Amino acid sequence: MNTRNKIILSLTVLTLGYILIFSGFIYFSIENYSYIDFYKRLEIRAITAAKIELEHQQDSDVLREIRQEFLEKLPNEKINIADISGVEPRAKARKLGVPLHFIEEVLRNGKGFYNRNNTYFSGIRYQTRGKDYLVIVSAQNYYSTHHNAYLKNLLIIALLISIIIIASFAYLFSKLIFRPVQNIIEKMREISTENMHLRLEVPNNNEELKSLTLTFNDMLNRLETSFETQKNFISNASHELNTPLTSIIGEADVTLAKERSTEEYRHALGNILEDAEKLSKKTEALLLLAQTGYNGKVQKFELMRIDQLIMDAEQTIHKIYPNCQIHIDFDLLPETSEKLNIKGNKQLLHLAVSNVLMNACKYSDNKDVKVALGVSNDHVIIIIKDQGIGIPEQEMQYIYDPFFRASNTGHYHGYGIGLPLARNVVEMHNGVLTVFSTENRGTTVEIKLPVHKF
Amino acid sequence: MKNILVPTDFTVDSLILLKKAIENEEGKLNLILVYGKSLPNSISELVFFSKGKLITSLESKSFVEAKGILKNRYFSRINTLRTDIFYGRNQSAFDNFLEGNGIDKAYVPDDPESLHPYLKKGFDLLPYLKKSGLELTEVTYSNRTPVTVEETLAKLLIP
Repeated sequence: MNTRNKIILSLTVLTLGYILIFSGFIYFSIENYSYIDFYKRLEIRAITAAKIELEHQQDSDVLREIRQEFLEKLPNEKINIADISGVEPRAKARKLGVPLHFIEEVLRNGKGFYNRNNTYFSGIRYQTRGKDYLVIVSAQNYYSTHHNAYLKNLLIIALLISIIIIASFAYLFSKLIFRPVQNIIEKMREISTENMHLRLEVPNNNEELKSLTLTFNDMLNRLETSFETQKNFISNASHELNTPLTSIIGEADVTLAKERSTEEYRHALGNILEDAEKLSKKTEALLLLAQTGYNGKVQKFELMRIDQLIMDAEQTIHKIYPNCQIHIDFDLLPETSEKLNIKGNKQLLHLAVSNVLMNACKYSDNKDVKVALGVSNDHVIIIIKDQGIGIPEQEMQYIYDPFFRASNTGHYHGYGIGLPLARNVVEMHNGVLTVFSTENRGTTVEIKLPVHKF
Repeated sequence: MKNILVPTDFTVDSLILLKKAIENEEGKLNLILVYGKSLPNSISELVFFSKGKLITSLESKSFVEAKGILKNRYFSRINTLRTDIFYGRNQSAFDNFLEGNGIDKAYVPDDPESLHPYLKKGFDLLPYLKKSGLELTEVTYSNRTPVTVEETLAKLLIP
């Protein structure tokens, strides 16, 4: 059973139960009241009859007239007046056609009530002029037979009508409540692996659904990125592994070109070893990237200093592009060094920053590359600015697509993976990577990473 | 402690004036960024007018970020850094404003057309500053091209 039907059913049952209890209470109290009322009327009649018959025999005509005028005649009304002095109650009871316990009750309490087959009996004990009388009035209860039956029917019909009304209300209500959920479900169905870029619309007026859609969109973001990394893992890996490999091959080539001294060999082998270590670190990082799929929890995040990271990246680039003019500007570094701490994965961030720096060096033909660092209250901001070939404006929207290379990069060797990878890494650290560029004038990359707060 | 006034147009670039002012001065400073904007004309807008809200709406994210960078950089030099709005439209009101805030000095760009307060529907404070007789220091700063939509922090970080 789905939640919607469950809501309709439980709402209907609950309200019906309430109405049932309510109408039952009304019915039984009205019925009870009508009994008591009827007995009272009979009692009054018994007293009047006794007075007329036994005391004021001379005025009995007048009293009888009054009675006929003011007391309504009840259906099957019968009045019995019996002298009970010295008579056995059992015989009296048999004679009057009433049970013994009723007679005994009247004798004991002075009055008594009894009913049988909708005929009601009310008896009183009346003493006058030294004699004991028993006055019994009996009549049919019109109210019980008609009014109460009418009330019962009325309540049952009202109950049936309210079942229909409540059920339709519950239906409308559940429809109203579940419409946004239905919308979300429909929209979710549209999103498949082919169109992972689609996102749910975030409703403004419903707090729970808002957080639901936000969570879902967030999940889609992560799915999309991990999807893309999975897709491009081989290309990413080969690109990243190629850089140190090239440098190892280059170093070995140069060293082997002619006979060298032991010292030179040692130096060359040292360089090769260093690059090989870097290679293994990158393999590790890439494996990590692919395995963990951006859930942020399995990642090993550690505390590190952002200026150290930039220095390290700059050294790495210096080895790959020795002619590149990198100027690091720490002029706007904050005075307190704890603001420079960020929490992140060292290898991955190093990968990201060196990728951006490498691009800056590659596409600017040894012109100046400026790197600046600033720390605001929430973010560490790294700016990498080159004076290279830039990116044509109409191609700006594609720069984060893996393998995309701008139309003016023909002379330069590359795969189009560095920037998307850097962006993925920055986003994994809850940061933002923005690129501003003018063709032929240069590119500025702004990396914002959240400051680690204690 | 000196009270320094720096006119602003709420662009990241204009904070270069602030940076130069801090570098030029010595010791601890009270800095006020001032923007000129008239009060709203309609009474209903005036009823719900709040200076704080107006300032928040004028400050872009990058501007706040850039201010944060400068605050962190000159942490020991900046005593207070606040943003204020001058509403008046005449010289004596401006003189009053200066007196009320106890301004000792102001830093202005040497090129009078390098601030663009009109972009956010404000007015230029430079004529008032020049007439006020306040001690002014001119800063070499020229930014004639109006600001683009995408604001970058690059200009502040990389001069």
